[in-house]
Amino acid sequence: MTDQLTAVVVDDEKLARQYMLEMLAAFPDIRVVAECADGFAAVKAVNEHRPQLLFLDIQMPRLDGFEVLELVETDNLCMVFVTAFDQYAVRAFDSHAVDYLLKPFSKERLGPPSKR
Amino acid sequence: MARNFHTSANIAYYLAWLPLTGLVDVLLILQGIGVVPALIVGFSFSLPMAVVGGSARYMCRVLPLRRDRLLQVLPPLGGVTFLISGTWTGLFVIISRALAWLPPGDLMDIAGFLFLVSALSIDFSLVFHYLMIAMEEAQEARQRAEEAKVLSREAELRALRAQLNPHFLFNSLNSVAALTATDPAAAREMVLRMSSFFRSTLAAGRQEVFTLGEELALLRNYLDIEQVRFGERLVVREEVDASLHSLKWPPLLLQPLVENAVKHGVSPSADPVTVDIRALRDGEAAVIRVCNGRDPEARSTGGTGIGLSSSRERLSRFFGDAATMTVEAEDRMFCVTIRIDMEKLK
Repeated sequence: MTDQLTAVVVDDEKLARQYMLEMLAAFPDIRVVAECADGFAAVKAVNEHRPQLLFLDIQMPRLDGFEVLELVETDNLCMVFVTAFDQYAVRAFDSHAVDYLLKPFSKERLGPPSKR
Repeated sequence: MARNFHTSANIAYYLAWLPLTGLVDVLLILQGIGVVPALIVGFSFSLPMAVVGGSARYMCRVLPLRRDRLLQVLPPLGGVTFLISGTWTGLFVIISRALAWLPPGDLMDIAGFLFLVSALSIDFSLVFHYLMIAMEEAQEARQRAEEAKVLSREAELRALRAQLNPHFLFNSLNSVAALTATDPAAAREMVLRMSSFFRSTLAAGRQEVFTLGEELALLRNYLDIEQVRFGERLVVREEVDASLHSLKWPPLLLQPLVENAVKHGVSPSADPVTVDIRALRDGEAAVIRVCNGRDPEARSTGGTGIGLSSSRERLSRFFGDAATMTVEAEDRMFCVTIRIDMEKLK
C-alpha cells in the first residue's frame, strides 16, 4: 500500500471532522494520518507528517486556514479548503488550493480533486 | 415634527384673533366712539382675551370632547365661558372708565356687547383647540401606525436574515450530514430543532404581541442547535425570573446578541466558553444580560458594532427612555446588559 496518499483533516468541529473521515473512507487510496481541531495543531501535524493532502477549514480557533498555509511548507501539498462560506473562494485559489468544498458536500464532489 | 405642528397651530390661533379684534373695533366705532380710541380699546380688550383663550387648550385637554360625555363636558365649559367673559368685561369697563378710554354715560350697551364678543371668542377658541387636538391626535396615530409598520417589517426582515444566515444554516446542515451515518436519532433531533427554530423566528416577525418568554424559548432552541455543533466547547447558563416571561418584547432583539456571543466567543476559542443569559429583577427594573467568555489569545473576529447599534435603536424605539443598553468588553468577557425601568412602562 505504498502508493496511498496521506491526508490531514483540519476542522474545529468534531462532527465536521467525523463527516470528512466518513467521506474519505470511500477512497481506499487515501489514508488519514492526523485530524486536528485548531490551526496550531494543523501546523504541527503537517510539519510532522508531511501529508500529500490537506483538508482545511477556514474559520478556526487560534489560526485560521490561510494562516496555517503561511506557516507550513506547501510545495508538495494538495490543499482543499472545506468551509460553509463561499466568500473565501478567490482567496483560497490564490493560495493555490486545488479545490474549495462548501459544507455540506457530497462524496461525488469530494472525489475528483483527491485524484489529482 | 410635533413641535412644528404646535408652533404653527399657535400662530394660526393668534392670526385668527386679528379679525375678531377688527370686529370689536368696528362695533365700537358704530357705537359712536372715535376711530383711534376704538382701536386702542378694541386691542387692549381682545389681546388679554387672546392670551386667556390660548389657555383653552388646557381646558380642552382636561375635558376631552366625546359624544358619550357631552353632558359632563358642556356645562363646565359654559360656566367657564360665562365666568371669564363676565369678569373680564366688568374689569375692563371699570379700568377703561378710570382711564377715560370710554365716553361717560350708560355703558350697559357697550358692556353687554363686549361680554358677547368675549364669550363668542372664548367659544371660538375652545372649538379651535378641540379641532387642533383632534388633528394632532390623528397625526400622532398615523405616525404611530407608520412606526409600528416599519418595526414589524424590520422584525420580519431580521427573521428572514436569521433564517438565511449562511454560516449557521450550512454548518448546522453539515452537522446533520455527519450525524445521519453515526447517530440517526441525533440527526433527526437536530432537524426537528432547526425546523422549530426557523419556524418560530419567522412567526416572531408576524406576531402582534411577542414576549420575553417567547424570545428566551427561541434562544434555547438556537443554542441547542449550536450545542450539537460545538459540543463541550459551548457551555450554556441560563437564569430567568419566571415573572418576566410575560414582558412584552421586540421580537429577535436578543437573538443577534446570542449569535454574536457564539460567533465571537465560542467559535474562535479552542477551550470551552460559557454563554450566560440572565433575565432578572432588580427592584423595579428588569435586567436582561447576555455574556460570553472570550479567549484572550484568540484573534479578533472583527465585530463591526453595527449589529449592536441596530439592537440599541430597536430597543429604544420599543421601550422609549425606559430602557438602556450597556456594553462591557473586557479581555475575557463580553457582556451586553439591557435594563428596563418597569415603572416607566406603566
